[in-house]
Amino acid sequence: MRMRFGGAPEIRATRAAVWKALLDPHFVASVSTAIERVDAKDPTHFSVVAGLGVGMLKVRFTIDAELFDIVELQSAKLKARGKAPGSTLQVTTGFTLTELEPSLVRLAWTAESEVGGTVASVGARLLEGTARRLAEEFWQDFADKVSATAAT
Amino acid sequence: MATLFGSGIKRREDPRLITGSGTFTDDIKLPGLTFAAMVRSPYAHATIRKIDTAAAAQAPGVIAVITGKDIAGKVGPVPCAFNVPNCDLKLPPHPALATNKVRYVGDAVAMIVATSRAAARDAVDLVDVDYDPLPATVDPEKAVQPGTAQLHDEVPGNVAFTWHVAGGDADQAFAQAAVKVSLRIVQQRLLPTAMEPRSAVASYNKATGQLTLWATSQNPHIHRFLTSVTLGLPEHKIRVISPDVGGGFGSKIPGYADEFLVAYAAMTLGRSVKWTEDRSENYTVTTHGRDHVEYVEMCGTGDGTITGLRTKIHAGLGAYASTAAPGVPTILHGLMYSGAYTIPNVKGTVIGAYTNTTPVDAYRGAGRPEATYLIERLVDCYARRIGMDPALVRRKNLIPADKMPYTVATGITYDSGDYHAALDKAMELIDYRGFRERQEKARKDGHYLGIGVSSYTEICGLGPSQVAGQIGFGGGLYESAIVRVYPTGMVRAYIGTRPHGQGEETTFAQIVADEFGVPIENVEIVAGDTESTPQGWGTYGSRTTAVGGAALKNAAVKVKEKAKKLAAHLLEANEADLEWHDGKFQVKGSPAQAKAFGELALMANVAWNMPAGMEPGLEASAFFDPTNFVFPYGTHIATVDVDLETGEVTVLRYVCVDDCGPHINPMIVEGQVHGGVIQGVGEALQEIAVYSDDGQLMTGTMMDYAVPKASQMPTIESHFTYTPTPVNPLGVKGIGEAGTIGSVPCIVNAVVDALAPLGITHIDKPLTPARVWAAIQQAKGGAR
Repeated sequence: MRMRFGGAPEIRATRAAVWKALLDPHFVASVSTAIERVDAKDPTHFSVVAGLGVGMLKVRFTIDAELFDIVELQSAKLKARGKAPGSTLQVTTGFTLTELEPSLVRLAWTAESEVGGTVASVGARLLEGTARRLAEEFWQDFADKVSATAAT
Repeated sequence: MATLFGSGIKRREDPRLITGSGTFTDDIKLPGLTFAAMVRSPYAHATIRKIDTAAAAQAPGVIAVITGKDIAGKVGPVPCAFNVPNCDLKLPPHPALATNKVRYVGDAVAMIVATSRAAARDAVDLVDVDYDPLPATVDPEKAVQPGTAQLHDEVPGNVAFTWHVAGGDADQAFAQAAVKVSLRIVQQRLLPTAMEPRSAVASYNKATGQLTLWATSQNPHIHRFLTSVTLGLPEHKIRVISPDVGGGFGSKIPGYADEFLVAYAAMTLGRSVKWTEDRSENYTVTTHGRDHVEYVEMCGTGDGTITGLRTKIHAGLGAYASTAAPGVPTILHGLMYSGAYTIPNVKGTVIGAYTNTTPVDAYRGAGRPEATYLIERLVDCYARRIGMDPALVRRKNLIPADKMPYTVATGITYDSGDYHAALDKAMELIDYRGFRERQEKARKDGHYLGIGVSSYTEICGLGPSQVAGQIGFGGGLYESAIVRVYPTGMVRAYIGTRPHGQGEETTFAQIVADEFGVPIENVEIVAGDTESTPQGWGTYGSRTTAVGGAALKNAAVKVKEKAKKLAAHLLEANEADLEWHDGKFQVKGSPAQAKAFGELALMANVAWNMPAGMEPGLEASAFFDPTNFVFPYGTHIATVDVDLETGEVTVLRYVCVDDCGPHINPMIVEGQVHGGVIQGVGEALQEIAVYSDDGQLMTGTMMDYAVPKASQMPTIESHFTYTPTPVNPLGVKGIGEAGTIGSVPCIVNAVVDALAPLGITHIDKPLTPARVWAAIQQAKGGAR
């Protein structure tokens, strides 16, 4: 089952600060309680363990993620493929930074995801809403946290 | 003594079944029993790069992890046994465990055997399968278009078969016709949802080489045969027991990988093995039903004579051809294109397609509901086009009773019936004319009422074995029975069919008890164990009573004939001077000289004084192979109220008049009609199995798949006419599927009739409020 989401939160920080945060897997992981662990294999390859709750289901995905199409300080894409017992997850995310003011950056993001197996067949009714909320909250929290860090 | 035939006595099996005292497959407990669980693909289509079983194999309680590599050469491909001829049928291998590629969500890649059910299921999560996802195709029409994902190397374009049927000259009829109507119809995929999920238990005796397989089967003898073929085990070393079975609706006909794997595991591990699916697994891997995309057209004269019907059907088979699948949208569907009418010219093409979905097989009615639905929808469209009442168009085109037996355009011969009588009776019961008047008045008040008629006939009582051979069915279609009378006059009757909810433990006992003039309590019906029951072909296609009941009747008659000879000997009378009266053979004119059935049972079994040349004992077996199918028929009429604001459909009245010949047990017949109608109303109004484009089943639970609930169903006013068939000695036709076949079109016709003032001519089922509302909005020209 395919889903598409997107958003464009604004961040009160410099473009460089936002960019640095985006590429820091541990910072990214710290934004979400769903992400249990991140291991960087190299600067663009990560191994992630994340939990997802859909209705009565709790699924723990082991995810391989890769950053690509990196345009320094501007944009990048992330491709992630996750496995969980009986379930699968594939996400492609793209983000673009636009400097609105010297310390105000818009982070435009899109995500396309494909979910399969038990999560899809048992959680179908709830999945889209849950996934949308998770994605939107994640990027909003990310924006808030970068803004907060920049303000201190 | 009053006869039991025709008496609506309560079902003898019910106290057992409704008090939890039945024995279902999952109730079987054996010493040292182990438990299996399947590792299944979460992808609809993917190549398998690697299967890592190491962690699972070391998990607590795990005895074995079995993959496709382990069974290579030991467990054959899952067989398809309906090799429909003249359609270029392609049957690609269906591995019991996938090794290179998975083709639907649920395709099994490994089996865990463990000491407990929980341990087996936990270990499933530890099997690490590395998949490379491939694009998937799920729609039977799109699957055969160029550029679509390809499932099998052996099947170019995913085309499983292209089957043709023709009678008369349909093209000419259409060329000359004054009126033509056409529709694109989607007959949605359905989930059979038997109350009991599938289960299998296998036990193997190494010393004797004997395999015993308990399985949820509608046809244990077919399962014995398929198990023999798949495992390479001699058939006489296999005993299949199908104990109490909690419904099937066709989904327990096929041979599944699961049962073969459980048997294989028991044979190799030396432990008995049990596997039982849960509801989500049942929805994901147990066969589905229907799944057609249809282009259909009808032509006729301007004054209501139907002259032709043409179809092009895309029939989804799912990822592999299940046991009976190719026969369902072809033989059991296309041969019925004349319906209950004298349509002289028909022509159809059915394109079977492999898709990345769960295999599709027979589901209550199997092909005939799809045929009836498209015909009955077209009749309504045609009627509307020529401005004639749809009921009157039906009356004009129904096959007249005096033309029976009637050979239709496709070449099959309908056995008997007065189709007009059923239509007239149903119209009278529902006050058809009165409703039309009320409808007219209500419309003026902005109230949308509708009435829908469906006149059906269906082919069942499958069927002559000779025909089975001609149509590629991998078995016979006769039935057999053994009637054994004990010294005390008690009777056990062993049958080859496997009733699983249809009540034959009662109706069959009624047949035998009547024949011998004994109380029904003295008769026991035994089914489901290949060790004790004679060769049979199972319970499906509304054949159990029409074919199996006839075999039983014949066996009982043979027993009685022998008893009569013995009576004549013991009474020192001429056999011709004996008459059967109230459970006794008595000398005509001298009723004191008599031998009761019980006495004869004793004398035959002790054999103290037998006529010269007569064998001891009192039992007989009979095989019955009918000369033709049977064709039950009827008319169903529903009235509905459609809420224009919400699209909600309320069924106001539901009247059905069915004819299945004489009733052995009227209450059971009515029960079969009720169940069938409810399944049909579910199909018409709410049931649909949904796949996402990438092949994920979106309706994987009962929260998502809308099985009908009692509160949603109308009161069914079930009535009958009684026309015997000449095809079997009981005169009975099948009634198991008729309710499903008759009901679906009458509900949809009623809803479309209600909305006709808006110009709506068709809405695809299921007619959920959302779909009806969308159709109303579109018709009004509003936003959808």
